[in-house]
Amino acid sequence: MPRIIICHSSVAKQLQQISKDDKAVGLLMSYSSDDILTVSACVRCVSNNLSTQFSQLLILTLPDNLTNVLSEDNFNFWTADEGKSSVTVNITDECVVNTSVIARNTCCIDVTIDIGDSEDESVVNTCVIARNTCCIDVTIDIGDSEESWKKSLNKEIDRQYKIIKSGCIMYKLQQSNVLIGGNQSCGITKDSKCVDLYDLIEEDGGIFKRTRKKKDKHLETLQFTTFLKRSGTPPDEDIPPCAPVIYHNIVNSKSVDITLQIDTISTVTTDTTVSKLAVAMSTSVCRQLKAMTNCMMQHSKRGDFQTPQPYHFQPLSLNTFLTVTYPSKMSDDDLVEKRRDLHKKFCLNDDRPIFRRNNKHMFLEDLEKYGYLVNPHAGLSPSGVKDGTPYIVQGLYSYHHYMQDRFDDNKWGCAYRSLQTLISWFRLQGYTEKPIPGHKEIQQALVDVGDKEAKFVGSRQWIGSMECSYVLDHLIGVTSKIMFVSAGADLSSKGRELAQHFTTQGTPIMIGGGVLAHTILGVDFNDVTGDLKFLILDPHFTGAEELKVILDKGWCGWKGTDFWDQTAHYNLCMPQRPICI
Amino acid sequence: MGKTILADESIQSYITELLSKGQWQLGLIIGHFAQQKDFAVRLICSPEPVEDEASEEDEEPKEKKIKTPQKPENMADSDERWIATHARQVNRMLPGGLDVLGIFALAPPNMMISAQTKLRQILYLIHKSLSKGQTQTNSTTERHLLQICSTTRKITCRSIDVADQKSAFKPADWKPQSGSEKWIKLKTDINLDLKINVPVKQQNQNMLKQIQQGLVPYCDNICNGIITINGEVRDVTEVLDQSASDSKRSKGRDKGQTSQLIHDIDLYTQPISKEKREPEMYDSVCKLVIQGVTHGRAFVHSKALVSEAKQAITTDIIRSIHARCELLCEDIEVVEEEGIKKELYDTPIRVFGKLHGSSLDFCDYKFQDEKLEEVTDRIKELLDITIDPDDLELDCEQVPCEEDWSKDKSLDPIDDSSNGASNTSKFNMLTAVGGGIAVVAAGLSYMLFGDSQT
Repeated sequence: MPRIIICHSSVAKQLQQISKDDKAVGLLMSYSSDDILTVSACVRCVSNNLSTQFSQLLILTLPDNLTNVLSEDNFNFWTADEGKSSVTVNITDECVVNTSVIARNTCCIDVTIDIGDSEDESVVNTCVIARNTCCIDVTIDIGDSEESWKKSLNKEIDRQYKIIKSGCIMYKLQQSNVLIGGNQSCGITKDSKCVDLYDLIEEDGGIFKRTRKKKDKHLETLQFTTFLKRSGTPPDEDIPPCAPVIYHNIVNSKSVDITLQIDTISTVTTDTTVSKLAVAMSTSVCRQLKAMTNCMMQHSKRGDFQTPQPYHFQPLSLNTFLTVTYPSKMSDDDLVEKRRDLHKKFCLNDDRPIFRRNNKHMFLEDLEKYGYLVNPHAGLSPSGVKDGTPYIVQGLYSYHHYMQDRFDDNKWGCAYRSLQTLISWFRLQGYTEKPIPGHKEIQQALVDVGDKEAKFVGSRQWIGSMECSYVLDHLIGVTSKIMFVSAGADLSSKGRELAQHFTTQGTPIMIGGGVLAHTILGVDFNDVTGDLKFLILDPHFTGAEELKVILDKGWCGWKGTDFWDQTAHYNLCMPQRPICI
Repeated sequence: MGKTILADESIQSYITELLSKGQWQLGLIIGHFAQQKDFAVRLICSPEPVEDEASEEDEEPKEKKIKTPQKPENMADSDERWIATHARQVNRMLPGGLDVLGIFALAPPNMMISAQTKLRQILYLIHKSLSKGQTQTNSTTERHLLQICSTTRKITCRSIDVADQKSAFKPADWKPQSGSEKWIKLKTDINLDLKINVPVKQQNQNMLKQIQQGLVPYCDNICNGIITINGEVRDVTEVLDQSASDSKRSKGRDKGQTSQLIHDIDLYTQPISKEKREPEMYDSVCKLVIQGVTHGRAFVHSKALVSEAKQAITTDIIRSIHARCELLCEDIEVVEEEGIKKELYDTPIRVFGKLHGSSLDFCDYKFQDEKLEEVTDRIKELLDITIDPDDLELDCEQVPCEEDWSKDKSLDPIDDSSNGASNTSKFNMLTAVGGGIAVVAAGLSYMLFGDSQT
């Protein structure tokens, strides 16, 4: 039974928020190790009625050993973890969080909840994240009714469950000779700690790996592939232990083959043993299979089968990953109700997309495969503004610059590239699924809105901030504020306004003036002294996607107010987030 | 320079024995393909089509149509299909790592010259026959032709790429060895749980073809799997037996020369057959379920790499599954009687014997109702090896018993409710009937018949 309970400040804040309502019922989710229970998220029941069904449904979106805790009233909870221990949280009007732990519903022990105050303590940063991918082929008999294929699906998934829980499943750590399972392991002793696994990964010398510091290693996800043991004891007791027998059954039937692309994440503390990690991963796979089954039951029809696809999300206000399964043929627009439900359950604001497909969490390995550099500024040192507060773009964007996409736009395409970076932000934040437009599409958009004549398409003419705002509006429905600055020197007085923009909107800004266009990613501003520096992403870079060069040569970096042409006129295109989910 | 083939010392005495018979001979070279040098471990004379099979021919009327009455006068007149069938049957009896390396021919100079085209034809047909219906695991397609001049006793060896129709013979280096190679034995027990839905488009195929088709994704899966050796995942480029390098530091292993190195292999596969794909609907006419445990055994030479070990053991698994299914289908001559919708067959169990004078084994498959003598007769017939029934290793696989058959909970993967009758009807248990030489004959006719169709 856990003796210490740590509640993350973000959860405490949410709980306090919830306590303002009349009555709320919900679940607390926590990571539990032997003596510490870390509450990392709370979930609210939509109907104020708590049911096991709700917790069952919820558990499917959670990674492995994140146990949920059920509540009776006002967030009084008990664990769904076989009722081993329960946590009761009473939230009073004074917003004080009191807790007691109930063991087997018999006795009460008062426990003080530690509210973590440092943002760095997020679970995501202190845990080992294990990602496991595999494809499972299932064959379902369609039969002659909607019930029959569902029955067959359940039967098949049960069979897969059995296999996964049988101990015949081993997880192979990619780029290593390590296999781990619940009962045995190869290449590492099964009592080893998860953190030791990092030392067994063979570096492949990729550009990202070389630049990474050793101590940051634990931020990497441990990537696993699932393997099924074909030798030794059969996973299924129904398999006879004798020489093979063949059953031959002549029967007409209709079947469907579906490939379930399992992609799970499991988060465990660094000192967890590898065999426990393997068990956690198996749990994750089973949960995902169940979630996929539900998704298929809900959205597939006899004759029209949809593949369930899992997406991982890591909402900023939650300290945990959530995995949601969407049917392959339904668009984000079709799924708005499902998302609204998720927002409500997880007590998330309804003002921005969090669970759209493009919101999916970008793991390091995804970023490496992305093609463009994402958030190159992340590796920069502080700007050097004394007592300044940095106000930086929120979320992710990709770096677009000259000569990319095998397209020579040297000397004329900088504003186009800056616009692409702006659009990439909206893409990566889930606002749009549209691909990033090329130069021609941007020009066509300007012709379509009547800003330019038809001959503009295919030309090498420059565009400015106004044009960017038209294109944003036309292509992805985003409106922008335009800030006019009559002389570059005046930009030094815009610190407060820009800081405000990055706080409320958090979008990158395209700035055009003279013959140059740049992207402003943030400002470092001291509102006492007025000292100000700009975080600039320069689209005029013509080289390859080498982060080190880009940072060392200042293609992405902090610039002082003298960076601007002091006499030139500047326009800033400041995109505004649409309110949507 | 062509490939070097290291010939086991027992081969020389076999050749001497053959020479003493004073007749021309055709047969197979059995051995081990390796990356640097190939190892020839045995020559096997192809059996002569003998008249005393007549009694069995009643059961096999097709047999009469095949005109291979007796050994022809001239080697050039021999039937290449006969040798190819022999190769296919021998191939089934080889554990992983052992293959038909090629053929040998013993004849006087004139006869040898006139038979050149025939010998080439035989090599190509053997390759075709062995690769039919099976997932190919062998990377090499080079096969050897060993020619022994019965007049001068001179031995020449040449190689040819049987995958290339236009390939020409290249000289190869046949090197008789003193002593035998120290073979490393690999063993595993693989459990099978295969469910095959036979799609409508295959409904006119015979059961063997349906099984073979259904096995393709499974075999690919096996080939793409990973193995552990005594519980360790090893780099495929490593030398399998690390003791050779260890012994430099600590001598003392030398005493243990007599004991053979045996490695336990475990096989792991990814649960996927193909990459990403959309849900695919289809109609099927029949369901096949193959379940059970098969014993896998393979041999590699003492300096083999881990990758070679993996190839040997996976080849063995795939070969063994195919061999069983072939033998079963050849034996039962599936007749789809009206009314019989479900049948249950037990495949033969795998038995092993020692190849005397070496640390290698060969194997055979024994149906439940076969007598041991029938097995030893077949071994004599096909491998030219005399073995005492007591020396056969019979216990590596369990014979299916009543209890195993009754585990029919999972036999019926379809929705029970959709077919009311199927709930009650038990599987018909058909135990395949096998019989010593009859199997040989049946197998042959089956093969030839199959060829004539194509």
